[in-house]
Amino acid sequence: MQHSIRLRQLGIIARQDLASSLGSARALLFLVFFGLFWFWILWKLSDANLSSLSSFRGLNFIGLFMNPEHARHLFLDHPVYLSVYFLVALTTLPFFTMIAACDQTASDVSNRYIRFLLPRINRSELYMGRYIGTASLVILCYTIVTFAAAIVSGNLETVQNTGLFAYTIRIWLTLVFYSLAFTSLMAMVSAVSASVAVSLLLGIGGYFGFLFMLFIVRLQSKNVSEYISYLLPSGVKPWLTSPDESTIALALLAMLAYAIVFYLLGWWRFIKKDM
Amino acid sequence: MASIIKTESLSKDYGNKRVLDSINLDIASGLPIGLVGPNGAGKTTFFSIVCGYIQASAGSIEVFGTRPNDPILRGKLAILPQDARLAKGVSVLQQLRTFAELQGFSYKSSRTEAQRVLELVNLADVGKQPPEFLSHGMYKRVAIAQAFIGEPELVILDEPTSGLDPNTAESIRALIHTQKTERTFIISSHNLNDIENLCQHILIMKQGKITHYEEVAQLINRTNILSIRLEQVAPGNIKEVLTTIDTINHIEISDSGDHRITIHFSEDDAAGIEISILQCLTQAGIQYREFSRGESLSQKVSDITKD
Repeated sequence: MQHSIRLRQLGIIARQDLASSLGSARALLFLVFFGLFWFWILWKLSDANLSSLSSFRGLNFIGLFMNPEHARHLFLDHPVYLSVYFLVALTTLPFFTMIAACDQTASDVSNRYIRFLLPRINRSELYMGRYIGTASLVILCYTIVTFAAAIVSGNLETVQNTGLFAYTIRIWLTLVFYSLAFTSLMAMVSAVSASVAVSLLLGIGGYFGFLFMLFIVRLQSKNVSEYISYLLPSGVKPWLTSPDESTIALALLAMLAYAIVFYLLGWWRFIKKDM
Repeated sequence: MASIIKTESLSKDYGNKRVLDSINLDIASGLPIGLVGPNGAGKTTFFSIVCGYIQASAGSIEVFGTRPNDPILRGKLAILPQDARLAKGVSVLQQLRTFAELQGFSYKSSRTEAQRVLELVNLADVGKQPPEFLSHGMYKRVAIAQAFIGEPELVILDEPTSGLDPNTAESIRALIHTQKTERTFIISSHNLNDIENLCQHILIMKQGKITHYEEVAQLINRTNILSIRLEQVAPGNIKEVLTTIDTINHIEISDSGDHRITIHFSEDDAAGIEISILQCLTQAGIQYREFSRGESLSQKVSDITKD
């Protein structure tokens, strides 16, 4: 089979991708930027008086930016520090993931490194191997930051360990699924791009352009803008903070669906592309 | 001999531009083949289709009896791509190990294999360096080394000696010489001396078409032609000087500025003709730089591919 996947080859490519991430300027830039950003956020949050967010006035203020019911659930039912981390992570994840995942196959094609690989593996293996390598890096980063936030939260707030652990796992799972959707989106963008720079520009520029367009449409019709928003995974983001478990499960399934659809669209382009 | 590459009406278009035009070829395994032609003739495009980098616009191609990209070709076909870059920031040894692993070597044996191919190109001591710290010649040799990982049956080398200093180029030629009995080589090069010295067959491409595919010896007609490269421009009386030898039928003086003359003679006196010509030249005070049997390949290819 021309597109059959061999697990060993997949592992080699993913391992190479992860290893080279630590040596490439682009990935190092992401790691440094990501690390500094979260160090600063977690540090500042630990010094801030977050308990005011669970007050009546605090919840009213947050209710301006998100569903008030979701806000009450996050800040009254769960540790406030971790909930703030959750909201900041959800908001910034698309941006960070797009930076980390912009070069999955783009530079292989632009510097023609792919010409060394293709006599040895097929395109599907390369595409999936790069995806796994990139997704692993993003997930690893969010795993570290999420558990760091949980440890700080445990020290700052008086919460039961089991509750804290369960909430941390929920946040981690949500961020993993949300990041997979954006990693797939960037796999698709990377497959149609001629270089990393174009991929990054198309991804981030396209994403913010889409949000701006959504804002304009929203001024005209809220319903239409809501339907359009589902074109990207961020349209389903409000579901992720729901107090209702079935809504959260549905949101995670939707993220998985986005991930699969974007992945397959990019794969289809990649296997047809002249290298 | 078994067919390794077979094409039927193979064509490739980029937009409105036809880069390969209805190529029909049947290349058998065994003797090294040189692929030559001017820039833009379609050589790299042809290699790219063979290796599955790009897809043909029309026609068909079979490599070892199957389509390019077929998993059965993994490890059988190796290539030195013309302008591919190795990954930055990763040691040369590590990159070769990855290639070896992808070809089926275990993690442990990949180290031995990577070192073996580095030794093959006399670069055993640069394995720990990343490619960006290597000179152009070393970089090229590493790229050549990766084509010798495993036991490929067909090795395609796209411009293996371009941009190399004479000593490095010579070492690459020597490597190909030692390997050419074990595998089939297809070598693309603008250095026609390389093609003449390394290859038994020559494929000439022009404007996306194959114009010649034959033995090098046959193309340059070694039997009754002599090529002489003079030190200076041929004097006006050179034809008169040489036609005093009865067995010379025809003399061509090159107008390409390389001071070359081509002498056609009857085969009756092939043995004594060279001595007679040398005597004539000496007597006329004409000095020469090169004297060889057959036409010059570069002149012949230049004539064929000239617009």
